[in-house]
Formats: sequence, C-alpha cells, structure tokens
Amino acid sequence: MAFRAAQLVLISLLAIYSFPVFTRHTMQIIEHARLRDAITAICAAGGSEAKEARIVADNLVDANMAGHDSHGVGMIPTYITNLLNGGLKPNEHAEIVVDNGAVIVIDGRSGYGQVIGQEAMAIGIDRAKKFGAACVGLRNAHHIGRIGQWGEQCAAAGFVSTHHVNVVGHKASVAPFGGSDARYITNPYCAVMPATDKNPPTVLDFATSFVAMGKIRVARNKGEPAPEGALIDTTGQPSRDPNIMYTDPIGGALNPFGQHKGYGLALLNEILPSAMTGTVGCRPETRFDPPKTINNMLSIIIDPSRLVSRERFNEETDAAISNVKGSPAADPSKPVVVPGDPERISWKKRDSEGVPVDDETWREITASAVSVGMRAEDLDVIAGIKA
Amino acid sequence: MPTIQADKLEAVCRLITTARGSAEKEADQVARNLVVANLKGHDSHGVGMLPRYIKSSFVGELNINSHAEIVTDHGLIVQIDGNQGYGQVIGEEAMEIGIERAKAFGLCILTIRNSYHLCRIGAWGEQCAEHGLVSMHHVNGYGHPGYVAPFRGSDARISTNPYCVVLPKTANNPPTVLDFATSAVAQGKIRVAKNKGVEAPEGALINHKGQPTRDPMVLFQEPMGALAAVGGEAAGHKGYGLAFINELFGGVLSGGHTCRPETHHEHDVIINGMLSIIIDPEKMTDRESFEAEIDAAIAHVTASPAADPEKPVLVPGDPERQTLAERRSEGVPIDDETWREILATGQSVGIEPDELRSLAAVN
Repeated sequence: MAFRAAQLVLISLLAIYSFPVFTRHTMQIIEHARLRDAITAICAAGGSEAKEARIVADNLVDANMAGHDSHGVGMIPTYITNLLNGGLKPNEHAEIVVDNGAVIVIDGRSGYGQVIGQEAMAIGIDRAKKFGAACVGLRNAHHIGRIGQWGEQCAAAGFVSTHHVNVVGHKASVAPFGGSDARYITNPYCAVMPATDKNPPTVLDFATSFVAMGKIRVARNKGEPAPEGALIDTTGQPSRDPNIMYTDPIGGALNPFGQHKGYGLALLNEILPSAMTGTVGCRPETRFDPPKTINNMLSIIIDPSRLVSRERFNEETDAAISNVKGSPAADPSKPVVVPGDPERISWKKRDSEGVPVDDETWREITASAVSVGMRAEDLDVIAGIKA
Repeated sequence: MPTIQADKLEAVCRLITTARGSAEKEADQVARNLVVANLKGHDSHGVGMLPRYIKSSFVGELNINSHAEIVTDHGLIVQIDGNQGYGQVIGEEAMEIGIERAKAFGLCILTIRNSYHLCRIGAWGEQCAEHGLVSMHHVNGYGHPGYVAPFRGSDARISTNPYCVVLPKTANNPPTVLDFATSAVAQGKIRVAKNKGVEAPEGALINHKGQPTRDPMVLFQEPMGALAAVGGEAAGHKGYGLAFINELFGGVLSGGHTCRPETHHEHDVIINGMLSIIIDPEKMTDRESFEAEIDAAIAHVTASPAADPEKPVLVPGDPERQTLAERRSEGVPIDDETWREILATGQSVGIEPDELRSLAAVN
C-alpha cells in the first residue's frame, strides 16, 4: 500500500511538474460525450457515487470545451492521487458553518470541489433570491476547477457574481511585484454579468499571474524561451528560461500580470477567501499531509432585478457590448471580443470536432484509472480510442 | 513649482468652492478629499481637478450643494442617485449609508449613479475600513470621450474604470488599500511625458491603427490613439476584461449609463457610476482570526527578498502612506501650470490671485 501510494505521488508530481523528455505532438481527439463517460468511470471507480462522478467529469470536460485545458481532464491524476492518499474525500457535501442570512460561510470538508462548488453556489443563489444579494465564503474545498463555471452557474440563475480565489497546499509559483521568489499560486479572479436577451453572459475569469503555468510548460516542451516578462530567476531578475520552474528547489517564479496592479489583486485574492472564512492561505507552514489542493473562495452574488429593470439591463448592457466591439481591430483576423467569447468559440469547435487530449495527459489519466482498479483497455473503449 | 502646506492648500480649495456657492461642509469635504489625494501622491486626483469642477458648475453639469438620494431601497441593496453633485459629497454620504447597512445585514450592495467625479476611489474603501469593514468598488466613467481602447481594438471606447478593494487595519498593519485604474497608466502620466518631450512608458499607448506606440502625442492630436488596458500584449485581455466588467457593474447595475458616444455630454464632464460591495467580516469569522490571517499573509509576501534592495516588497496602500508622510512635513508640490489654473479659477469666482497666493504662502 505504501509502495502504491509512493507510486501515485510520483505520478502526480509528474503530472504537475514534469513533461515529456521528447517533444510530442501526437494527441487523441476524443468526442466530449465519451470523454465525460471515461472520466465518470474513473471517479466512480475511485469511490464516488454516480452523481458525484458525473458532476466531476462534466466540470472537467466543460473546462476542456471552454479551451482551458489546464483545468480540464488533465487534473484527474492529481485528484486520484490525493484521493488515494486520503487528502481528497469522496462523497462529501457543502456544510454551512456560519449562517447570518445573506452572509454565510461554507466548509467543503476536503470534498471534490466540483460538488462542493456547485452546492455552495446553489445555496448562495438561494440566499440572493431571498435577500437580493449574498456573500458566500467557501473554505476547505478540494480544487474547484475553472472558476468561470461558478460565475456561469450564478448567471444561469440570472445573477451577477464576483469570485476571489486562493490556493493552499500546493507549491507556490507566483512572486509578489518587486520580490524574488514564489509566495502564492495563480489566485484567480472572476466576475460575471448574466445574459441579456441578445447577448450571452460576460464571463471574466483570469489567473492573476502573467501567464498560466501551462504556457511555461509548453515553452519548455518545445524548447522555446518563455514569454518575455513572464518569469524571474531567484535574484528577481527577468528570465526567459522555462526550465527554472521545474527544478527542485524551484529556480524562479511567475510574475504577476500588470506589475503592481496584478500583484495587488493577487494579494487581495490571497487574503480575502482565507481571512474571511477563518482559515489559512498559502504559506510554507500551511502545506497538508496527506497532500491535497485546497481552494478557498469569497463569492458575492447579486440579483440585478433588484437594481434595474430587465428592459434597462438589456438596453445598457447590449449598448456597452456593441460599443467596445465597434472598435476596429488592430489585426482584422482578431476582432475585439468580450470576456466569455473565446470560451464560447472553443466550445463550438470542440463540440463538433472533439476534445484534443495529448498523449502524455492520456497516459497519466490511464495510469490513474488503473490505480483505482480499471483496465486500460476498458478506459480506451469507453473513450472510443482505438488501440 | 510652488510647494504648499496641506492645510494652506485646503484653505485655497475651501475658499474657491465656497465662493462658488458651496455650503461650508461641502467646501470642507471637497477640499479635504482633493488635498488627501495630493498628499497620497495621486496628483491626477488632487487639487488640479478643481478648475474642471468649477467650469462644469458654470455650464450646469455640476450641481453645487446636491446630496445623495436613495432611489431604491431593499435593505441590504441600496441604489443612490448623485444628482450630479460633487462626488466628494455624494461618495461620503453614500458610504455612510452603506456602512450602516453592512453593519445591520453583514453585507451591503450599494450603487451610485449620476455622480460628478467620485475622484480617488480608495477614499471610499478607506471610509468603510475605518468602521472595520471590507469593501470592493467597481467604477465606470462617462460624459466624456473614452480614453482606453478595448484589447485588440484601435480606438478609445471606455474610461480608466478603476477597481478598488480595501481591508481594514489590523493589530500589526494599516489598511490594505488596492485602488488602480484598469488602463496601463493614468492619463496624467502621458500628459507629463508630452510636456517633458519624452517617450511614454512601454505598453501604455496604441496608435490609431491599434499598434503599440511610445509617442505621447497620439492622445493629443489627430489621428488619435488611445491608452491601452493594463497587462500589455501578453495579458492586456485581463486588464481590459476587468475594465469592461467595471463598465457594466458601474454603468448598468447603478441604473446609470455606460460610456459611449450617445452618453457623452456636450461639455467634457466626468460622471461616475459605482457598484460597492461592503462586508462586515465579523458576520463571517471572529475579528481576531481575521486580523491574524491578514497579518500572516502580509508578513509572508513582504518577506520575499527584494529584486532591488532599495525597493522592498510592499502591500497596496504602502506607497501612499510613504508619500503622505513626506508631503505632510514638506508640503505638496504643485506644478506651475496647475497653480496658474487654480488662480484663474479663483478669479472666475471673484477671488483675486494675490489673496490665494497669500493664503497659500506662495510668492
């Protein structure tokens, strides 16, 4: 058992910190319905009830559909490792631990963030319906995936929302502005305006780091320099070498986006979700044993109908969208978009063409499936992959 | 360039606003707010705004002695109309209402529409923080042509739409005050570059074709360029995204307007809309653990060794506190052009330049 656990830790570390030795361009293209079934089967084999397994799979595949592969099915190896080590608890549910009506704190009990996040938002939406707005502090949820999905859940109910998020239990990767080492993670911010009769929701969801860690991995795998401005070395000087992020100890850090502004937002995201919910943020002394990736989130959910009539909401939102989209594009092949458009474009494409999953990621997913007792061949059959 | 002591500068502003017709309290609020912006180093939001305010009052775009009016009230959701009064007055009155509601319900969602310039948004977060509250503020601006281009675009469509988050002070730390424009730099910095004849900061501007440029003249002559959103070419979509969310939250949810040609005013004015979220942390956790976590996080990030030993890692609000300490003792530097404009504004309300010079102790 100890050996198996050690093996799984290794698989997980490879998933997070490693990359193929040789550049690989081959990948599977998997129909999204089949990918959902495959991931559902792995989670179920890991001990999740059918409903939970499906929720986790849908959330991860939806992230791939939206084009955010960093938050897609490639997370499964980490989840399964944490699950088998006891850090991630299957079949847990959101628990309200502080209840002041419009202001609540929810504990995720180290359960699947996909389930906890969905339940926490459902509670928040319910409170916002009742009081007009709600403030939901969510603590101690295992990785809650792509934050945009929680804003989208609120938007589907017709509600505006904002979400400040931190990450605990994971090696730090982002340096404060002016600093020289990593002190926290990519702490995302999300804000969503619901749909009008003409326009889909405006879904802003971004990491406060200069670029996502995935872009550094891609540069390294291709043997190319990292994007200019993305990295610093251990003296705090700019670096273009993506390899520095993969040494132990880590040989550098990601910069924040937008210098002191992005750093400020990252720091507030670091503090708000922990300090407001009575838990801790990312620090050396807050690592977990057994390991797990914990997200904390402060969400504000608002019913816009208490503020503005549907007619005015539609009119002013649509006019604002038309106004920015009316700016002639600097590059005609890249028109001005609003937040949420790139994800919708990706969704449409992957809905018809399938989801690309690179070979390395699929190998890791397969190893995870095997670790919870599935046969690799069976997984391939479910996913529709021919040997 | 004259350097003027803060209390004297306040007296100058108070005299001008009073002469224009403001009641004593309003004159105090406007003068104090502007001078605090200068003291904190945000000269773009300091006394240099007063000439614009007084001009707007003469064309009926700024209403003297107006007050915040509650137009919608659902308890923890309050919508306020600023009646195009001084933002300094409207902002302070609105926050007083928001603070009271947040104390009662744990949460207040407060919107302001139709306020004249709300000026330095950090001031409103600081007001909430004085009562131990956490707050976030999403702001849009209209009534004037846009300054900032959407990411990938080639012309100015929106304003500098700031975002502000403030944490109250703790046992070990003063308030954490994050308050930034979603443009790469403030417009004022481009004006300074133009006046000095130097290049604009890299990544700050685009030309009329949407290409990056360092020529500050693109904001002052045809063909017009625009300010870029914060984040540059690699992450400008993030800054633009936040700017656009602020546009919608401040412009739509307030029941006000977004920035577009149809909502420009005849005279170049600054109307702000704002969505404020005010939260009482004690309704979520106890004050002690709240403060302990803030202090631990701040200690952790500021312990990162500085890339440049002369520039240690700071937390938002630190640079303003440093400038405040300096300028409280040494006075506020006011550039010649701004001082000339203030003297001219004084004359427009019947105050002789010598009276203002003497009040400010400027030769």
